[in-house]
Amino acid sequence: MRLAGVLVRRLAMLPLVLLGVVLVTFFISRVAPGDPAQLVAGPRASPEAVAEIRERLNLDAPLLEQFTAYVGALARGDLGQSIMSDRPVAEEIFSYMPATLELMLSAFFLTVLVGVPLGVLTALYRDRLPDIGGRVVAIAGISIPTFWLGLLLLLLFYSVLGIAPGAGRLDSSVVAPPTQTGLYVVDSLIVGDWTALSSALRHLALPALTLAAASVGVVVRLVRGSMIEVLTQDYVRTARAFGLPKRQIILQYALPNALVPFVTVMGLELSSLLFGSVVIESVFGWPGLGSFVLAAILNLDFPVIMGFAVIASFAFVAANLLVDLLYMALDPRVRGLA
Amino acid sequence: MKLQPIALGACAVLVLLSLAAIAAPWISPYPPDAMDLQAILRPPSSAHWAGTDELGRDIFSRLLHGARPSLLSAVAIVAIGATVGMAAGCFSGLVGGIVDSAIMRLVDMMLALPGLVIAMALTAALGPSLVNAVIALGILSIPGYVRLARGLALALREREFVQAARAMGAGTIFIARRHIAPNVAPAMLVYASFHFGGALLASSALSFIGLGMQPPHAEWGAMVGGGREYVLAAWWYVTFPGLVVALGALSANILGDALRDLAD
Repeated sequence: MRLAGVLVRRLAMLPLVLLGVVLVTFFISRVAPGDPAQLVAGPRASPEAVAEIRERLNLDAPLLEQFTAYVGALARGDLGQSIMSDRPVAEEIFSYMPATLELMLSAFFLTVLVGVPLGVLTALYRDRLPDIGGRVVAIAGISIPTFWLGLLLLLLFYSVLGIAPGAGRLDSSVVAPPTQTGLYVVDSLIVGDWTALSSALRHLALPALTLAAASVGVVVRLVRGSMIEVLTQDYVRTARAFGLPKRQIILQYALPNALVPFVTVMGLELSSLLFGSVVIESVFGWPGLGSFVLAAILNLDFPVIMGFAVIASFAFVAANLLVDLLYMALDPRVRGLA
Repeated sequence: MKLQPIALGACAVLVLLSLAAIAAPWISPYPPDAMDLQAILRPPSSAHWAGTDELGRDIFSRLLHGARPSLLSAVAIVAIGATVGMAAGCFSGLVGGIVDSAIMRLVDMMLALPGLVIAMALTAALGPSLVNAVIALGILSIPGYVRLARGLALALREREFVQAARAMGAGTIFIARRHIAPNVAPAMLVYASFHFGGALLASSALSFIGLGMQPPHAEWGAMVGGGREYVLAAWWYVTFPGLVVALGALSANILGDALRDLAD
């Protein structure tokens, strides 16, 4: 009942949230900076150029009029022009998207594949060696700065051990698989190009591991907590009293219930993964959205930074809506009532 | 009411880092911006405990001087989030009704945004500087505190001692200060402790990507950012500043765990 209410409220909130996204990004792009025209023009622009941009962006119009124009442009998918490349921001962002998507998805899968079993393990072996080890990994994951971990891994695997590949998504000798999804791992699987696949995976390994570390820490701590709680529930005790095998109790009775909060948190973790990709992509020479946005930051390419914030916000809202739907699929209590 | 030894160790690390922040000008072996072009990118030695950077500046001295902006910015972020969030949350929970709904819708809206990405864009818009990074990260941390404080205030509102105070004619502000705030404080302290670790990581990450502390000033995240180009040639350059950030965040998280166990 309570959960169904949450879902209904979320859906009803969606228009409000989207309005919030637009308001916040509008505020950041128009109201917060001293002179948006100066920001768009760049620090070295002449006064005439700035005046021309003021004119073009309609910055002297009343705020409400500017806001409707902004919403209209967003609806048409118009995020302005990049200062660095003079191309449309939306086009630029989408061209860098597949590389970052591949990185984020890999980190996401790593988080689930490592975080959930480790969380369960720590809960089952509470206060014994596996628990202590898992908790150390978890607290280290959430405490180590992502950017620093990336540099350390690079130092160790590239410089000292010499087993990590160089920058980029593939070795320079490998031809990229024909584009289907833009994700090299998926594309090379589709055409069965094993050289490209292994090269892509090797290049993905370190950045994905770096990006996943913090989320793994969060997930281990969360799953451990909820698993410990679930294991004290009556239905688990009943199952145990009926002499069901331990394996079945854990996998069939305890785990699905322990994973309910985990789904929500994974949706929220997407925000950290996205910010993390801005921070670490350039460390590994990963040619994705993160590197592009970082270059935009260094060049004060304001339209690109804002466009990224807008797209990231919409993607985040959409992903969390998806999470709510998944929640419904996972939790029969919600499914029945919604 | 006893802290575990590991939590005491975490406290000791935080105290030590704070002492470094306070005493940096007197205890650091070199001025933080003293260049020595004869000693560029030197590994750790007895003269330079943590080596030197690309301008021959002593990294250990810069670590000490970087403690102040690094720690203060995390403290300021927590302070903004905690004070505004606690006040708004207690108020929202106590008053209820339409004010409560309005505040909570606003909070839901802010929580629906990818916080760190928005903080990054906001800092870029305000102009890259550590103060602006702190403002952006501080504002975006408010909703978490509001939600926590409101939940606690809602539960406390129905308790006998609050009802009794109200029956005796106490006003909302008085009740909030005298009865709600002290009872909300322990949970807020746990949350703030974890938040301090996160704030330290976030502000140093913004400095790392060039949106926080600007060169030539020393700040831990900015130091790692300065050293990334030399990572393969000078491991000490990125290793030590990052290590201090990690130690600070780790201590805050350990302390948060210990405080939570105490509060339970």
